Amino acid sequence: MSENKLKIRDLVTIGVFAVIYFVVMFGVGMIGVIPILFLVYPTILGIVTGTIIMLFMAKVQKPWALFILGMLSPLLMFAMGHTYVLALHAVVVMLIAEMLRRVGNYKSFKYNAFSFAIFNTWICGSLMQMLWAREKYIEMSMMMGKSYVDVLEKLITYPNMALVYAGALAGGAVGACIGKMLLKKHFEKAGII
Amino acid sequence: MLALKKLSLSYGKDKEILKDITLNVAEGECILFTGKSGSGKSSIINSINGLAFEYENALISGSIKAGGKEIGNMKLYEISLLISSVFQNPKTHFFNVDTTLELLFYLENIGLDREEMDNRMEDMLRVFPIEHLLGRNIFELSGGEKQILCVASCYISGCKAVVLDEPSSNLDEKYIGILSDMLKILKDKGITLILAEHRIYYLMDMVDRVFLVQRGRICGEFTGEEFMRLPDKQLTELGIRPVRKTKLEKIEKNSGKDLIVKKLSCSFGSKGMLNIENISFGLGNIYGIIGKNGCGKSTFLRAMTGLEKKGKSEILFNGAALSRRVRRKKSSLVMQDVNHQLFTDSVEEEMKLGAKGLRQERIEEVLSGLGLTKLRDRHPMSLSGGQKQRVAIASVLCRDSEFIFFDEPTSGMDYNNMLKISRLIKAMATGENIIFIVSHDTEFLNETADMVLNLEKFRKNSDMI
Amino acid sequence: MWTMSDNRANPNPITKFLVVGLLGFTVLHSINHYLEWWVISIISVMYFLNGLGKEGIKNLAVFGLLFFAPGFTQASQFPIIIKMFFALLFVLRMFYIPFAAGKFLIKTSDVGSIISSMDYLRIPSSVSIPVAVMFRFFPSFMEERNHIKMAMKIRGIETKNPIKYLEYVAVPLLIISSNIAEDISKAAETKCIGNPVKKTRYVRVCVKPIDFIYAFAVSAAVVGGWLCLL
Repeated sequence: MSENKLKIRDLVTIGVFAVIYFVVMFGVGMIGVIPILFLVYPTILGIVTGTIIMLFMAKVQKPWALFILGMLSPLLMFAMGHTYVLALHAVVVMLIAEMLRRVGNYKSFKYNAFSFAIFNTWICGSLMQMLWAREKYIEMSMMMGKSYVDVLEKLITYPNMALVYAGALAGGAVGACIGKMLLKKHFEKAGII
Repeated sequence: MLALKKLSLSYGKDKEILKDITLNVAEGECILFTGKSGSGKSSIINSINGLAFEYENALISGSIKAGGKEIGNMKLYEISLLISSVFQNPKTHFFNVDTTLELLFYLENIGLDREEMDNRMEDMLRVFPIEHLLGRNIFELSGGEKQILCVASCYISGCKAVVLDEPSSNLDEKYIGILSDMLKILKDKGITLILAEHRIYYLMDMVDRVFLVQRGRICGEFTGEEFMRLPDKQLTELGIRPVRKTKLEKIEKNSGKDLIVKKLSCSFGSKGMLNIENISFGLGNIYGIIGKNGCGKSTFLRAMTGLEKKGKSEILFNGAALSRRVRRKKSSLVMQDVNHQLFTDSVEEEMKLGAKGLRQERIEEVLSGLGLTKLRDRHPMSLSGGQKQRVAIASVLCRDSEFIFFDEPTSGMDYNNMLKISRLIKAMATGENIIFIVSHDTEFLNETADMVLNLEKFRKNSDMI
Repeated sequence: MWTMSDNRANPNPITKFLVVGLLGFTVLHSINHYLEWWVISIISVMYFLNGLGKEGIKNLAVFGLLFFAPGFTQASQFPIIIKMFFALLFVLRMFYIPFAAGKFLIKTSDVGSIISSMDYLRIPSSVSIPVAVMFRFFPSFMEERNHIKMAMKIRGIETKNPIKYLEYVAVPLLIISSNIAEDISKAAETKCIGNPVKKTRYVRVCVKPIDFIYAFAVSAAVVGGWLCLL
């Protein structure tokens, strides 16, 4: 039991990787400046951050490590003005990811990869809150003309949201595979894990 | 206070690091372990403060007792209640961003109340007047100032013993002096000091016993005076730096007219500026760049290599002006922490990266010249510190740059490794390139540089204007 | 004599955090426009009281710009690029109020008081330690990233392939970060962080009048704002 408790060095590792994840997330988030790309953002995020989280999972193979790591970014975003939707959504996502890891006993690549794919959908929460505030957004966009609003109304819908989730899962899976490849090529060879 | 009995330590099955070490340390004593890199002196320190077990998965036989308790059975925090630690690299070994909170961190963790913290802090400030370091962002401190903070926090913790693992290796002369004074004060206060070092001149007037460590064994015990009497030659053969402070023998002079810095200026905002005018360098020479911490050595490096975007520069090479972009193309840099410049998954790939039109013969030549042939397929990050540095040098050699820059290439190196790198650098000077070395390692500069350039005289502080 | 500053005009982080959370609701449940201005003004006044007047003015100016953007009806005739720009402004507009409060939280809270607040709230160390480490590691990370970028520039590594580029940055960065993580935890452990006794904090979390004023002024605006729109 005590073997499986998070030690100081695990907690420090969580903090360090949370920073890396957050900075990279922010960097990738710059593409969200072009609105339509916002929809593929979760996919790209998964591809780019796969290596970071897979390395983290290889380093800390203990219960709740991924959950804590996963909750830090939403909490930070919450402190920076995102709504409670994002935070609650993240709790659900991270719990599922944590359970998947547990099934694989925290070591199995397959389950860690699944777990990361789920993990990666937390960012969809930021789009979810857009969906919930849809009316307000469309009202503001009225001045851009009817045709624009029509396009917008077709774009911000639940079925499309499902597509974004699918994209996030796929991006997560690809990211996990890239992560695995780089882990093998570099980090195992270098003796880091 | 501390008793080591038949201590042996190993990492994994066949990597035996320490063998059969037995010694006692009395309260208030100052003990120095010295020897070349890899001799095991740091492992002794790490087994005393317990980090070897928790962090390096070391296995031991024999016993280490501190205050009558067996260290191997104690939790890290229990050990830290008795012994504080100072590390080699103050850059990363801290937990808080604010200096005051870093000093108080230990006291918070042992649950002292606020009043007691105030008392301890005031007591510490009477002993070490470092008010100017309080309430600051640690990231703005120089390496020397950080190390002062580390030693001060050992005092404030109230521990009766302090272990220090090569505390001087990233400091310049001025801060080594300050460190020395602080340690003397600690010793006068009756605190036991246990050090591992190969630069030892600053310790000689306080150390009670010196243990010579070789291949994991203690092969000599001296008093401080006895050790002082050993000839320098014998020490340098053992990898130890001289027991007396070395004077810089190289002189400053302008030589050669190949590379002319007409003007190079860079502002540090409110802290003044670096303003260089009319200095020149000649091909085939090795220049040492010296000056106090914070006088602008790294800025000089960045400006010369064309990486610094701010400031003005006018630099001529063979009569033609060099733009920043061209300077960047013609320059190579070996950084202080070479981990920053290793990108690929094998030594050979590393050499090919960024070097256009490189022939295989050249690769072979460089590999064998640096003794890396056997390591060519290894991942650079899996190598030892010295080997990594050679890989970085190999990649520099493959680029055949006109200007080669080294940033503190010998920090933390013992005498032998310093000599090795000195020989390598001297061999790099071909007559078609200029080598610049930023360093505060006097022995190394004496050995390597043709002349030195002191940047302090180009530095203008804003309060002086 | 040494002292640590304790600003009377600075609410504690817990209050500031609760305010951010409360304002988060306004994204999904709109409040009256005048009261939106009221909230923004409170935040600006708080900046002024804490000696950050410039931030206060910036805050008002940015909100003003975002507030009037949707009224700019000529935009419908503009090309798609400009429309996209406006679409972005609208997103910012929706989130600006809680964002402004969040920025105020981050700009005016020092790490010490944040850590003390977490202890005050009995947040377990398995969360508070990683959060403390985040503050500690963030500047290190930026430093290391710049070093690596510098090394890449001078090595002449220019690759058009983004995956390759990612590999070149990611590998040294992750390896160095792992090493730093090790160093930070060694530093923490040799300073007794694992000690199970009840820890104390030098920085106190105190509830001052300003906490009530700030919290009350904002809550009144939010609740009032909802009532107005009922």
